[in-house]
Amino acid sequence: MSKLKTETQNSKIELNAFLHTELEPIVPSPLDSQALAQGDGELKGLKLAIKDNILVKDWPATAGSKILEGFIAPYDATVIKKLKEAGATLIGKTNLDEFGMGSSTENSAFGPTKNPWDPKRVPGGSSGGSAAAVAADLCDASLGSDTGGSIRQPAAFCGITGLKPTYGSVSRYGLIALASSLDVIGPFARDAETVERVFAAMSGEDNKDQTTFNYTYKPVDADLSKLKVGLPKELWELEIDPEIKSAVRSVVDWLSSKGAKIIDVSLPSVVYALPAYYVILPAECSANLSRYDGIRYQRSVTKDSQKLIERYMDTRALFGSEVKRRILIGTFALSVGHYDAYYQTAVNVKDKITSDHERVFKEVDVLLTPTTPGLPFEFGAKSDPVEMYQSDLLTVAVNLAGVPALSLPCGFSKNNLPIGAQLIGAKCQENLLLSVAKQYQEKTDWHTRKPRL
Amino acid sequence: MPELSREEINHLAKLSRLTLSDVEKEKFAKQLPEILDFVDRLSVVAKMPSEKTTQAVPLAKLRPDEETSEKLSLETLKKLAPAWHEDQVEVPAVFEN
Repeated sequence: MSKLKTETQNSKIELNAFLHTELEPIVPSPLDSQALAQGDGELKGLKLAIKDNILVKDWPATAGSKILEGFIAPYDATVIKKLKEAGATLIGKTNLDEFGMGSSTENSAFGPTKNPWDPKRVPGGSSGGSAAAVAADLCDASLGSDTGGSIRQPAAFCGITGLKPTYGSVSRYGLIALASSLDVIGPFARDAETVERVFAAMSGEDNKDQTTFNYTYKPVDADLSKLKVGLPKELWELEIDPEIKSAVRSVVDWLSSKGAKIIDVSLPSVVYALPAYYVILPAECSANLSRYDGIRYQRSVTKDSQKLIERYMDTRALFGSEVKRRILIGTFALSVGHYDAYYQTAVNVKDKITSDHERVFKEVDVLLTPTTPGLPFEFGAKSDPVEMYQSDLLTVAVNLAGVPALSLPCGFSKNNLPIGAQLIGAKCQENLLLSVAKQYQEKTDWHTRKPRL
Repeated sequence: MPELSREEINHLAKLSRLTLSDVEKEKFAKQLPEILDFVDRLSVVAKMPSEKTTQAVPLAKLRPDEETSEKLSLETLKKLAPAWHEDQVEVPAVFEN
């Protein structure tokens, strides 16, 4: 195979969806797994792009940060090992907000990715490169990671399908940690069927990640006439772009026309999800990112007669603004005198959100909401951090509850910008979400539309 | 919350082991209180009854059989650290003379 073609050949637009464009694709051989030796391999020939915070042996992994420049991954993440065994061809590493902190890829130390639908606009984030690569037909599927919406929001902004799996159904071994109690790896593709194939191959218990549990993906064929669909009023009442609301309403109408029962439900705690998330995430990331010490990961800022502590501080000056901001907030929230007011309260809210979801899934099978409150925005439009945090308004509660959710394309704005609908399920109900999405995509063509590049 | 003073920012940066430029200090002194005001919405629910948290993922859900990761060869490890002296990682001095 020739060298990676990271940008569409006839395109005039450089999307900057990929980092490390010099990489040669990795094509698994029959020696790599029994399935491939027997001529099976359910993902044989599938071109897969990988978010640059997931380790692929002998490939760089920067997580979008200068502090990991020059680092070469010494081993494969468990998901990579599994996907290679299933026959997927790895074509390259995709751009992201530094360490996954952001909703636009503008926080990448290597420049932002452009939205294939409108290069003046962001592709969403943090997995913006992975979403843009699928939307621009540079690969068949890609991997992202989702801590507060980092798969679903870019899927919505790029007009493709993205799945955030149940926490613990996919191994995090080899994923560069952001907030370990929330992080999960998941797939993007144009359609739910491809997302399902990739998810089936990558999920399952892993003895290298203690938080995984016994899980085997089994497809189901959901009977829509018996489906109970909940519309969480606290989320629908938020300030949401009217074009998005009406597009997602059309999904509600379609489900209703198939005989599904539409029920208004309440999740009172979700209004606290975003502030709780912006305490838990900084708290965990301030601890997780302490490992970048200027010694262990190759990149180092050295000066003459430098002490160990100076090496640590000089090297950590390489972090970008958003990363520093969150480390400072995390340190503050965990410090003596503030711990109860911030971290303990946020964790209590997380527990409440989990129990609210458990309760509501006794009443309904799935929840349906818009994926994002707004359409893809222009570069630089959200320079205020708190304003940027609002991008995750509809997606964070899912991470705090640990349940699965997917975003599927459900329409376009007047300006031809994609719109996503979010389907949320009870723990381990990925199969139900994917079945509903597949049936919707059999009858609609939103997911097949492609940007003009 | 009012803007953070230069001493407060310096103290927080020291606790966080971060080197901040003057521009960053000025920017963060304004932004951090805005973020803290935003997450302060939680104070409404601060009095909700609940258990003390001692871990992010409850231990009951964890399994006892986690393997330690595979051993990496010296050759692989040598690519990961910035400086080596014979077969040992070279680090700056910890103590002053």
